[in-house]
Amino acid sequence: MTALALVPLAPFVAALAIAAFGKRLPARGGWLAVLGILIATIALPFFFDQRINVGIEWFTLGHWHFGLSLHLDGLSWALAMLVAWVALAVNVYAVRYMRPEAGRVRFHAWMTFFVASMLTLILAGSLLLLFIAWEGVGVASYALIAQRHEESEAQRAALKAFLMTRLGDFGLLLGWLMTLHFTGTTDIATLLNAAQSGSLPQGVPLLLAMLFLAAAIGKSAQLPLTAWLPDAMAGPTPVSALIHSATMVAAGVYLVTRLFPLFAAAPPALEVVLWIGGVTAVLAALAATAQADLKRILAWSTVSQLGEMFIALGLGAPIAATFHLITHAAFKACLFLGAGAVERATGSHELGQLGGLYRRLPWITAAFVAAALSLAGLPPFSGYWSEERILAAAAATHAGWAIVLLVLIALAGVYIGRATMATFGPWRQAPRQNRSYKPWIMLAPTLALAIAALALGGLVHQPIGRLLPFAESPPIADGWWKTGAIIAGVVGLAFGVWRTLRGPVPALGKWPGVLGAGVHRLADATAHAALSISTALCALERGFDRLAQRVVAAAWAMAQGTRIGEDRGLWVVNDGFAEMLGAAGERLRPLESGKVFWYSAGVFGWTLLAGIAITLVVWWL
Amino acid sequence: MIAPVVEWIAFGVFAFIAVAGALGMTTTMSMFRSGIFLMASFIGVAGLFILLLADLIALLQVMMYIGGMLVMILFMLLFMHDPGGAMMSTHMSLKGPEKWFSLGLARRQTHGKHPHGQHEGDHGGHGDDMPMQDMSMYTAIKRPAAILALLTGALLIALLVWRPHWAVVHALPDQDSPTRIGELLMGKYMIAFEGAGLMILLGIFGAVLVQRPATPPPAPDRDQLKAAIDETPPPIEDDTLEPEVLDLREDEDR
Amino acid sequence: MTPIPLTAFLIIAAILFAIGLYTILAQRTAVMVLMGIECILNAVGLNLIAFWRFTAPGDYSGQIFTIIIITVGAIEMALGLAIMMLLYRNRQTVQVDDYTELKG
Repeated sequence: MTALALVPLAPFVAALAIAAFGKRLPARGGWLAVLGILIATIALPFFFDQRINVGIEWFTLGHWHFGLSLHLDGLSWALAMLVAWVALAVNVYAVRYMRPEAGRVRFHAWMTFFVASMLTLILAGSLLLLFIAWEGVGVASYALIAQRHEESEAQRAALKAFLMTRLGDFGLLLGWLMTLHFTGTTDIATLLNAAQSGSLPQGVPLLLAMLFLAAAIGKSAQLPLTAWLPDAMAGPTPVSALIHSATMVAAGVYLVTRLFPLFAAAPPALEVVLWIGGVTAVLAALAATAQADLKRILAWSTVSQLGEMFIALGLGAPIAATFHLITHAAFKACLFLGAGAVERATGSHELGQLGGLYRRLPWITAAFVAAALSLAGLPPFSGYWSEERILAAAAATHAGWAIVLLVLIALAGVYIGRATMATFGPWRQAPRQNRSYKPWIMLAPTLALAIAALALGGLVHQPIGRLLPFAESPPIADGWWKTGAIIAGVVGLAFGVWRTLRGPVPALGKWPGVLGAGVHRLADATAHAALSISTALCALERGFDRLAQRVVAAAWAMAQGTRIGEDRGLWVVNDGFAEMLGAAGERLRPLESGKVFWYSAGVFGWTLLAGIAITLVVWWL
Repeated sequence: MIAPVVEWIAFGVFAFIAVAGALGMTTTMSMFRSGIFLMASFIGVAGLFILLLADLIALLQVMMYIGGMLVMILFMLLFMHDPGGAMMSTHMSLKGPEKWFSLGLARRQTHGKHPHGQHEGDHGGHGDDMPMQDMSMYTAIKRPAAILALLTGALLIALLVWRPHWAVVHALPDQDSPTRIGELLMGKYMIAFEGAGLMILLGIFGAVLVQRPATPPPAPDRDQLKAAIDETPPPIEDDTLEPEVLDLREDEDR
Repeated sequence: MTPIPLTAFLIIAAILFAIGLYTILAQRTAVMVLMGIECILNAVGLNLIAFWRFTAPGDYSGQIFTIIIITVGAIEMALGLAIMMLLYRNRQTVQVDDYTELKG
């Protein structure tokens, strides 16, 4: 079934075509991007419930086999479907959204390239291909954050995102290299089999799990590598919707889910996942309550939700994590698209300048509210179903984690209720940039995602357990916890709305804002730590440097010697030779008299001499 | 069959005509006479052809060379300076065959002045710059050329006399040679024949093409081109291959 | 059988060749150079016919060669005329040693 390669290749070809001919295409390549993604979207359902493993051996180095392969199972199929559909919606939206901006060819090319890379990442069957795609999405993320590169803020944010995710990527690089060392291939299935059968040496699963976890933390903006994600909101809103909420940042969660048997074989790693997820989720949710910028609220919320997925993974419930990933992608993308529409309608996404938009943007308001209710975990919206699963897993493990999850649900209600109220609430009028702003091209994807946010959870919460290749997680939470979750969501929402009735003040006072700054500082500290490590390494490097300098100096001296030798010896010889040739040419010059008779005389004279010589020779013989 | 004596006489006459004609062609001062002497030489060779029983070739020789080429040569002579050779024979002192073959060309035999340009060493040597200097019929290597030709001829004849062992066949060719030649031309040598015809056609085209009045490039352009060609190239100022001096300390200071 | 030996004809051809050679080398005028070439061609033709007559009288190929040589001579003469007229038009002279563009 090599047709599977069509799925990532179609957007990739589209990206190349846009990069090459974007200037001449309709909407600067926007529709071609949609077409490329549409092909993938249409192709994917045909692979439903298939197990495909296609690949080639790239090259072999000793007993190391570098393979590139695609692997399709229920997990990758579901996530590829998610990515393709969300990307389709967001790209349709982006065609209209990007119209007033410069650099649209660049945008569409990178966007499509991102989708191709993301699909490759999800479908990758070998860690090598996964790594390539992982870096591909990183580069695309960098380029897209810096889309408005004339703003220094965007530049800084892009650089920050790139460097911080790079820190995690080292984990992935080392991880797959060590996998290569221990299993001889880059095949994921081989690694997982080895981990499950325990044929790996003692401690190796833990080491590998920690390395891969580092990568996941970097991509999914977990502590301590969190701070790049809120800053990444400097990019255009479709980028935030697709990359920094729905898909790329979920790649970390996907990586852990994909390698879950490995993590399961190393229980301490799961503990680490759990704690990192928990701390991140709570801190980010608190920070989200204090933000004054709509997109930043959503960004912190994304971090928090990703933290919840990590909690689910740490609790040993990959199905719940994947389920939440799917629902979160739908409603968060919808929220971002709504925020983008608000931004286009008013020219701002500062909460202080928004308000009263429900009259001007009724459909957007409806979509946003639906997605917000889903985020707050109210039944029957999709967020309810997935969070309920996580809650069940938590309750089965320890009541403390269940309480943490209830707090998280409440906090989500608080910040999203506040954001919704401050943006669309009835009391203030936002500045009118565009009086009536309802292009259907932007509205349709938003509404589609809103419908997904409404219904997806209820639709798939039963079949997803069968689809995914994991053991069924603990049973559904019992009534008390379920009721508690609903109550927490409602209370949180009500509190958030109530706090915002008189204006967009921080919902829980100013201290969570300090917390957010603290997270930033923590990120800075991480960066500094990394920097000091590299400074320490620098000393070593300087030693090497000095050694290299010696070598270079020696080579230089030798080169100088050779050069002097050339000057004194070779060049003199060469010059002499050239001069000799020149002088000989000068001597021979009169022969070229230009007189025809001399030439013919030469010919005939030579013939005569040759004839005489031949005659003499023949005669003598 | 003719008697051998008659044949020998005929051979002697034709050979003399051929050789004397050629000699006269090259030695006479008058180019017009050169042409006529060449014709004589051709006729002599044509006679030899007949003696060799190649009637058709003899006929062709007369028709082609004398009917066609000599006319062309005479046309060419119209472009010549002094085709009659009167000036030449008047101003030069002639000896041997040159004098003999140029008899009656000079206007005044009593001029008495020995002009320049007769031999290679005399070119412009006497300080008497008459325009005659450039008018000489001969190149600077007339005497070496004569020696070279004599040596070549001597070598050839010596070889011929020294080694006359040809595989001579004592048979008579077919009397009907034109028919045989025609059959060969239309059969075995068809391609060569057609090639020769094509060559004639191309030759005609080429001659016409070469003869078309050409438009030389406009003068300013030509001057520019000539200047560009004549201009001496600028000297190479710096050797780009010379390696830059690396500053190895720079890195450390930072 | 003819009493005249082959060598006699060949000697005549050699003399013609030598005279043509001298003409080519010694004469300054293009026409005269052409005439020298014709002379040499003539000698070649004579050689060919003589050899045909004495060594292969049954095969007429030798005569064909001569015909081709005569044809080539005619073409050469025509082109020579054309080139000479062109030279004359450009330089107003037909002395071959006045064309010294190839001088080194």
